[in-house]
Amino acid sequence: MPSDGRFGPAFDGFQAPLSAFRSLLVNTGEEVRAMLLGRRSTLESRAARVAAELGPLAAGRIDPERFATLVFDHQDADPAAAEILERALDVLTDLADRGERLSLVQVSAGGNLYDAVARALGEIGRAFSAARAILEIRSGRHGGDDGGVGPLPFGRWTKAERRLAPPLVVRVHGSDLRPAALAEFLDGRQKIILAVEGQCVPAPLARFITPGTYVLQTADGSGIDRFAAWEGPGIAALVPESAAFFEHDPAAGAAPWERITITHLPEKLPRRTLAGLSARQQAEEIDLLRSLATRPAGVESVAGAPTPAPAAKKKDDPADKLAAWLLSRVDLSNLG
Amino acid sequence: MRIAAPAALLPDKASETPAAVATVTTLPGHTLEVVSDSGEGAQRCAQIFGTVSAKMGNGIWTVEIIPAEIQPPPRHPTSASGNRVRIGTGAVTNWGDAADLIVAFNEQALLQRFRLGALADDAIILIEDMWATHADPQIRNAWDDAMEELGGRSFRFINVPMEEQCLTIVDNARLGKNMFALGLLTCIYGRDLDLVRDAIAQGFLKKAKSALQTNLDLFELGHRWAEQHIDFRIAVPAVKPDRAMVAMNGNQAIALGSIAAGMELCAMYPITPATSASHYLSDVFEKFGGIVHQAEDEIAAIGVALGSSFAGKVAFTITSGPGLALKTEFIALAIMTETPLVLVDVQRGGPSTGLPTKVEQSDLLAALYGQPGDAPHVVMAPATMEECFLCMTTARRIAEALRTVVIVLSDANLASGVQRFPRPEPSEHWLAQPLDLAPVRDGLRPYDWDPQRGVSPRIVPGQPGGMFTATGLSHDEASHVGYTPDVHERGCQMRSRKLALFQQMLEPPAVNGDPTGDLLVVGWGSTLGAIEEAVERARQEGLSVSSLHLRFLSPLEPGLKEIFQRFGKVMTIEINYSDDPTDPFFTSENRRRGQLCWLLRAHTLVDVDCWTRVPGEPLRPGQILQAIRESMPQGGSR
Repeated sequence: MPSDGRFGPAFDGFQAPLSAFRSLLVNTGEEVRAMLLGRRSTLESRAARVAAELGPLAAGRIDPERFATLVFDHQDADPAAAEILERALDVLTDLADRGERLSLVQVSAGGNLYDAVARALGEIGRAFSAARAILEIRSGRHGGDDGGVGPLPFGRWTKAERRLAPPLVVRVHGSDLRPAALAEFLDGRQKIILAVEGQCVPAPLARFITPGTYVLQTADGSGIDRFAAWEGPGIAALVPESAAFFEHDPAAGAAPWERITITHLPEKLPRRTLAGLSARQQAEEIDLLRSLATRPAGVESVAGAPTPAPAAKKKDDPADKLAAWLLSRVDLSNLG
Repeated sequence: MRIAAPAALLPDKASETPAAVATVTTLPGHTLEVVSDSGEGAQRCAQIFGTVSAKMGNGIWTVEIIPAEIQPPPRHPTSASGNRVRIGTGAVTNWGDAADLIVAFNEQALLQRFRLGALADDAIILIEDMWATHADPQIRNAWDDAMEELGGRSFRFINVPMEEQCLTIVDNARLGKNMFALGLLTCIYGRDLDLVRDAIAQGFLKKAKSALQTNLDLFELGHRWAEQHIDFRIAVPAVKPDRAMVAMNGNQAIALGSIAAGMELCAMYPITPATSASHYLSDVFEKFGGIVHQAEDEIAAIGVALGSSFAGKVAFTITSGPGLALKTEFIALAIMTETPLVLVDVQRGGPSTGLPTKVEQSDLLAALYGQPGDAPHVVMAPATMEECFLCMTTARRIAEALRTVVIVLSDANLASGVQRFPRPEPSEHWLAQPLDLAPVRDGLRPYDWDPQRGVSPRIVPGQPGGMFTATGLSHDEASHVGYTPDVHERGCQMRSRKLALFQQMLEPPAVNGDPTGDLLVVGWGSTLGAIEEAVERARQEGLSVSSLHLRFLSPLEPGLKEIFQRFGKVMTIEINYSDDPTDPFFTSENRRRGQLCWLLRAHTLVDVDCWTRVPGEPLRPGQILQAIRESMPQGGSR
């Protein structure tokens, strides 16, 4: 599937985050495997490991079996915890084995785009469920429940998890392209790429234009590299030639018209309802896009104004406060 | 008046006998020295000879002969600089008793070695003869005086015109005699020429090719001269080892061992004889992700190591006696905060700045008890260069498991001497496991001591839920300062308990020789080889002697009292000071004993005796043998 022509450009730009997420899964899996090995080990094998860790000088001088009692934690023996670790390992292995397929979503004809994306993200969320379960056990907080390692809805992901998840590439038919509800998934560093098949409304992503979200509509994949490099959330659509092509780059300026670049608008206005949007609604989306991209008459450029960025620190950031205080302590402006 | 060299100096100039008729004597071992004024390269000459011998399959042990001053006056007995190299067919474990052959660049360096009893009675002496006819009458007189002092013995002198020969190649012969001498030795001992050439080239990697060629020419010149003029050869057969071997000194071994042990930071301040370990380390540590931090002073150095360890890094610090004294407060802080820390003390002569370049084992009690308050910690001592390498792994693991300080006591003998030993095979198990930064368990406190074991889980900064205030003040399990009797008592109990627990994990030490007998000799550190050789020779004389060598000094290895009780007498052999019991000033009440002796008497309540010396050089097996003979209990078997 990833070799499918429509997906090629989308996946090409996302090799780095996809590999990073897979590495995360594999490495965590290795850690869990080591933990399980330690828990399953017999006294003899623990002693052998301790003897190896102490090195040859300790041979015949330090009793490794006794030393092992210092090193290994007795809480490790909890069988329920071991079972949860097993399940967590299965989840991590399964997700890692899926590779790019984990990021691929196919919306069946007449299907619900929102549900499909939510389900896929929930599936990715299993990795976070597993990681949370592992942490609970490592920190001794495992309370004897089943330590669920099932799907974790995006809404329950932490801030950190929202920055870790891989992008989603969603193949959807134009008639099923009702993306508005996807807005709730655009947080952290989450990115969604819609590979649209068939006709679609001309500016389906116009309503996503907000200061911190990268929005891209393209037919040939141009701009995908910049989209992939953006450190914040974003949504892109590979649309047919009949749609508008535009790019909203949050880093490009403070005002909307500085951030938006329209490279193509459809010559003909829509005449029929598509994907639940009437022709008027579709036209309004184009108008919205055009108006956002147009500098109001009489308004000077705001070039040089601070560029909003999702990672930008707020004024009340404790680190900023501390830095300001430190600077105030060494302020020499009143001297001589 | 000019005094001729002693009668034994035959021939006056070396023989013109060609190599074809040189007499070859095959021996199981031989000891040689190369001595010169400081800066003339005798050490370099002997180091290459030792390295090549090790590569050829000989066992070796080298000891540096180092003047106390950086730039001592030339041609003075105290200025002698060089090396002793003892080579053998089998393993060599110490520097032996006396040199069988010596190459001296001047008679004053030779005189110093003679006065220290470093020459065998029938030693062969190859001496630069330019001083006998020097233009300066004072120098000629000094030569004559020296020859008179050396006369009347069985030495065989061979005059070597080093200066005259070297001047055929270089303008300043002072910078070339060492390579000429290397040529002599290579010929006499039949060393592999290509290996020597390679070793010389190694020393000139960063220098001009012409400099290398000049040194090679000097080496070849010395070799040719020996072929034409020296009428004897010494063969010490080499045995090809069945596994890969390495040759290095103890400081190199500690440096490489720290890398193999997964150390990440070495914080130090330069101090002889420890500094070279950090030099070796700084050459390669970065390639393994490590850092050598040279701090502004000894206290800062241990502070950096302690802070790094507290933050979760694997850190150690290295110093010598005076530095150990300065680090005292932070050692105690590490013990109090239960922060793992490895401290290497390369001992030298003391007290105070003492004998910076000379060996001594006099930091033992300071390492054990030098910290105010009750500060239990581990003290261990490697006995060979190989153990210097391996001890870093063991020390690190113990420090982490017990959350305490491990002091590793090396010394100047191990630090600068070179020994051949099997190449260590580092294991991934030696490396530190990645830190577990999982949130700390609910309710876990930074010093949640297991009352049965005295240990508590380690929390490092960055672990969610693990924030606490570390303090050197008396504290409870939560690291809250507490001055009440029960809080302090409990803290002391727990810090002591884990040491007691560790002591129970130690195995009783092995006895070298019979498990019972008339005399048991006990040692620690670098004296292992000399003691065991002396004991072996004593046993060949029919004496009922065994030996025991300790690696763990705190806690002491178990079962000592039981072992001691199987012998008629127990005596420590140490390189530290003790009062001579035959001196009328001292009685059994006021006599100060060797440091290990004190320790063993206190721990076992056995009347342990001691024989100690502070000569500023390693003990000789012959000296120890004599001490054994004189210490045999009345009626001891022969």
